[in-house]
Amino acid sequence: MKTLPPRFDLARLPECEAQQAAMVVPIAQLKLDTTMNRRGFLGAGLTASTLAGILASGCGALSVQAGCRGSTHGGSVGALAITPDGRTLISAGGFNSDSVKLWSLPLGAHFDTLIADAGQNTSLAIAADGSTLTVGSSKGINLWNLPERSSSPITKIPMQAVAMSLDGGTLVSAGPDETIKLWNLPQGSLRKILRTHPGGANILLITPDGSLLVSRNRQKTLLWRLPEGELWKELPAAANGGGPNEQSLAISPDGKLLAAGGKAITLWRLPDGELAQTLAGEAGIWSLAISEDGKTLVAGSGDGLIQLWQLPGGKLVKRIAAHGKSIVRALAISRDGRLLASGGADGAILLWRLPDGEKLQCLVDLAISDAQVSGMTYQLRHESGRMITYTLPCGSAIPAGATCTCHCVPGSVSRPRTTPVVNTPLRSGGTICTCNKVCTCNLIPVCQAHRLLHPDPFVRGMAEQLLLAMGAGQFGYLDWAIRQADSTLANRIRQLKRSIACGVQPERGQWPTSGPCIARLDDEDEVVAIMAAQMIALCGQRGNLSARLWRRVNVLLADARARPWFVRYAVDAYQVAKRRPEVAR
Amino acid sequence: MTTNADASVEAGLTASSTTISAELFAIPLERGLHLVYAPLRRVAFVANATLINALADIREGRHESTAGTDRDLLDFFRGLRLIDSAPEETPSGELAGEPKPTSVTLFLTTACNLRCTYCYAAAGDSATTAMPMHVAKRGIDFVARHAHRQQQPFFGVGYHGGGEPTVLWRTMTGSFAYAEQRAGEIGIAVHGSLATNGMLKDEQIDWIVEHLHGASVSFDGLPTVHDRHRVTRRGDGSSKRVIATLRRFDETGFDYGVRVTVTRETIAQLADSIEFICRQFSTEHIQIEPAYLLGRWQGAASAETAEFVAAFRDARSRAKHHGRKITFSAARLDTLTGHFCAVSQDNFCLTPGGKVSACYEAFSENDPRAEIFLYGEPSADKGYRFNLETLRHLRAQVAQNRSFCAGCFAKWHCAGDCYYKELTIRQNGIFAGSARCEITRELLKDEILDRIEASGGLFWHQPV
Repeated sequence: MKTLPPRFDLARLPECEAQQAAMVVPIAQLKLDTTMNRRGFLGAGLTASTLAGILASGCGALSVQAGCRGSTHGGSVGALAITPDGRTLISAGGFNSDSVKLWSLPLGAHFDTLIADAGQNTSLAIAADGSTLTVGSSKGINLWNLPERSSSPITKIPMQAVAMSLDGGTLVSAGPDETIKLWNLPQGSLRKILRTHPGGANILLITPDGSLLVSRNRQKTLLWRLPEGELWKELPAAANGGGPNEQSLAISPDGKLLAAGGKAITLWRLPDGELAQTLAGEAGIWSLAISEDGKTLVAGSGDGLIQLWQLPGGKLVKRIAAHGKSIVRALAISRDGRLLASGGADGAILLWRLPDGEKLQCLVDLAISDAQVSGMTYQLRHESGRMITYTLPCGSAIPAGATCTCHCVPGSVSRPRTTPVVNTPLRSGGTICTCNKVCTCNLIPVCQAHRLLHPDPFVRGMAEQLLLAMGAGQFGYLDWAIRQADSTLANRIRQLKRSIACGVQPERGQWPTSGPCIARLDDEDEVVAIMAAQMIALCGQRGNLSARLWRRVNVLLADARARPWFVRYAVDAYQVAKRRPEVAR
Repeated sequence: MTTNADASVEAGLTASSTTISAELFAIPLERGLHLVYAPLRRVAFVANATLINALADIREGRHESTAGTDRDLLDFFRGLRLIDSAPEETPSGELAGEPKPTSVTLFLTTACNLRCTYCYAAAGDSATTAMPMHVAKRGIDFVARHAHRQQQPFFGVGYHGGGEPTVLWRTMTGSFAYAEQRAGEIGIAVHGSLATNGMLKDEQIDWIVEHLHGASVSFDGLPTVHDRHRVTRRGDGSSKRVIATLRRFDETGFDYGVRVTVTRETIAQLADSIEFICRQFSTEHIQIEPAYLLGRWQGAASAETAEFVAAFRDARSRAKHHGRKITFSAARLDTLTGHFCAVSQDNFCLTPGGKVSACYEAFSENDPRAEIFLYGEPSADKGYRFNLETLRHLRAQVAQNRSFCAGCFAKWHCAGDCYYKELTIRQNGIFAGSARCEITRELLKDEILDRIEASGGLFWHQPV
């Protein structure tokens, strides 16, 4: 099959892409796609096609249940935060587990341990720029530059809670000395000390506009005016934690609503502090989060449930059994409102799709997992440039763009059970031993775009023709596929996308006869087999096939259509992320 | 009060005479950004979509649309000679006339003392051929004569291909002694070069250092990697001897290069191999190529993959740390040419039987593509008789004639890449690009971005 000539000559781009002022972009502003070490398990999915649905495909479902408990910090999870770009989840250990870890999203893969020993009562606060993280704990306060993984200490005085203004200019801390301190950032200079309630505050929040500080412990919920730090109001007792769950507090993104958890959920108008509504709680509310659009309140309860409440109105939309019978200690919602992370006393961190509350993933750091936990490792080159080996429990879908580097990996604390094939040193000094036991790696994503550079020119040609046939209607998919590909492949996909945008159509004259397609219906690469089936269907070659072969084609096509939602979610999430700036405008 | 038209004039944006004066390419990067590249102006910068469209406006003569483009940008373009400048000079195209070579490459033998698993020539698999001395002398006489007539300061004699030239040691040293003698007679110099597997005795190394100007040594880096493919007839690894050769070259200050061949199996070790070479040896020339799927390696898994690009990047970063550069033959940012190699430039190589070949890969009359690349034979007058039709075809293999490559930003660097390899991968007899094209484009793009970064981070401009 003929390959299209490369087209890099400067050509007009769609006007929708040309919204800013014309500019030469400093190279320092480029992130530049880095390569991903992957072959064979490149993932992507299609939801529909322009050709009678024959090109639809997707990839594997998740059925992760085992291996989630205690698989992240060893002990319970104490705090969660998602960076504004939605690409990184930051987690802090709770009781008996005091590390701070970074996880890539939406894959949910551990890629770095920021602090191995952060201290107790760790709280996290991230600035709107996504690069500044404040970590407060019994060991004091450290200001972290996330991209550089560097930190500077603010103080070594133990802290119970920290909060940072969205602009990153003000830090507020509460310690066991019963004071609240205001700090100037990034200098880290102390601006003011406020006297507060006995025992000190256990949680601090600053409204998005930076004008109000909320502090809370079991006895009191106080509102403070910022930047002066003047006590503005004490909320009625109903707003107080009243128990050990006083940290369940959330402010809506518009700063007009304060949600406080206790035995029930109380909603308070800000800044006047008037009670707006009381929502029924179950087993006590231990964690709260409000989505960026202010329409969803998520509450984590003491009996492992996650509740999704609709705002305004306070209608309970869904109850999800999330963390068994363990307390849901921490919640975080991505800014695009599509992803929820929950952390429990069971040590699990789970990712959920919003608004429907479908479970996506549980996170695993195999280095600290139980010996009985086994998982699949895969490698991705992180945007920092480092090649990182990730691990998921067996049965997980291999994330798009990943290379399955083994089949089954026992936990690091166990001895090799069989002759090791590969030993990968771990930071902890243990080893992940690749054994020959084959875990279920049966969720092979289908992705035509990721076959555009296949060594077999016929396969390359099939991929190209199929994508051309899909046309501009699948640009969302192509954008996603670009993000998942290494830069070489990404450029090839972009090139094809431009061809489609320029009106290039599939060339019927280049479509193959049935013979080469039939020969690939049983290709060991399932993607190639499916593409061959799609090509046969596209070309209308049924007449050339025996009944057995036609059945085989139909089985493959049905298989492609049946592939469920995991990657489609990623595609959707990407499309939302792309649209967001336009909405803002 | 000024009108819009006045404002445009004020801003220098009437652009009635503003035209694009460079071949411009836009290479997609990320987030809607493109790398704008004008190869013949040696200019590059990263642009957003609006800027791309502003350039498109100028190209299409939609002057009014440029009103949104500020004058600084137009001045910027003018300064880079992207607009309103004299036409670009394209690299030279097809040659014409009788070939007048001043260098000869002698394919001395198809014999080899190694049995490299990926050998493109399958050296040692068939009956060996050896070049008689008179064949070598005739070729040397021919190029010496032309160099003398053209008043060149030297003529060249190279030893290459099909086998290991140093196996035919007497012919090699004898022919070069003859070349030196002829050079002395006509009062010019001779430059000798060699492509070798590095399996050399000390006395051979000493001779090479004393007589030749340079050598390319096949060496794959880490001994375990090298010995995986580059083995003796008995299957033993050859790294120990080759390393000794390279050390000896280093000790003498000899100018040599290392050619690293990468297979699918050794991609993962490429960076470590380059680290090894940089730490162990002082060569400044490290060329990395995926193994050709020819000869003994025909049908093997191709290494021309995205993984190769990734590994190359890692290797480049390691080499950079040691102050070295690594190269891939088609990704030559500093070369602007219509010719990938000398195949289209009357390359003058002699097979052991005395036929004239344009290509190092077509080293014998038995090559399946001999009809395409063998374009001459000895004539009765001590010279050579050339098949002009074959020669014309070879000369036509220039970037200017490759319609498939017309829209590719790499075309003036790779010039369509290797014609021999192209013939092995053609689809229905038509060139339709290859996996090597992707490698070339990626590595060139990297290099361009590096140049921008090294030039201050905004744009790169290095006029020829």
